[in-house]
Amino acid sequence: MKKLVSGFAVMNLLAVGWAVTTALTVWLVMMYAPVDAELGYSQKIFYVHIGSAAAMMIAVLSAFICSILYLVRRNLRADNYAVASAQTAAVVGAIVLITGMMWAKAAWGTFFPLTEVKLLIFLLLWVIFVAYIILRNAIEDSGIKRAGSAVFAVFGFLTMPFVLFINRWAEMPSQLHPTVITAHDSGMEPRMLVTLLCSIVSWLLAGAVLIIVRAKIAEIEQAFETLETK
Amino acid sequence: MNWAITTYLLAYGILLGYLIFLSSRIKKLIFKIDRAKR
Repeated sequence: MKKLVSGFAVMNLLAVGWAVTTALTVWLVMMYAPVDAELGYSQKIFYVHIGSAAAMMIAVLSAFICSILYLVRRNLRADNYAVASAQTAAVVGAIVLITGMMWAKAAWGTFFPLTEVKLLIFLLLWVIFVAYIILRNAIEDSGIKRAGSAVFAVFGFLTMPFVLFINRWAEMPSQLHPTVITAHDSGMEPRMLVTLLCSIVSWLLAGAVLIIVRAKIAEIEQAFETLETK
Repeated sequence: MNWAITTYLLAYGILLGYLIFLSSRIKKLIFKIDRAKR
């Protein structure tokens, strides 16, 4: 138990980094980043939207890696981290959805244009991770629960490349979602780019801290369960 | 301006809500650990 409760040094460091970068991001968004000529202040939603999307992608990737590790080695620690990553992906995904919808209302006049393939695939990805949590709580047999949810997380990860690249892979008519950053050009003013990068770092740190905290909770709860069954 | 502020409040509100949820679980665990020590 002592071993489980200790070992928080890395997490504390990440949490401090998260707090500092979040404060810096809010300052940059309010004071430093210029107001967009076309969208006005509503364009500033973009920083939180992209940042949270980056955190979600990392959480989905982490859920995938940990689930594969669990399926191959039956490692309980990997399973704990997979659950933590999936839960973080669902929470951060909700933020991506809401900020995206708010941005869409300001930019396109509608909250969720149903003709947008990228948005629909993202919604599917988010629903997969919400279903993961429901599935996790619904099944009682721990072996089936762990293996089933691991397979679910792998499927969730498989939809991620489509979310990221569908607008580049397939030429579809009248897709509104912009592709801001390409391999060669960010297409942004330097002050906007600095703000965006700071926001991405703060959200990535947030994702990492949330995953570690949630996984630690799962580990300690598991240790208690083992003690109680003994 | 209001639209952007509402969005930021919603986003950080969700994050805060999740942190409160996690801290309540940590509280329960601390209580359990204290009880187990006794």
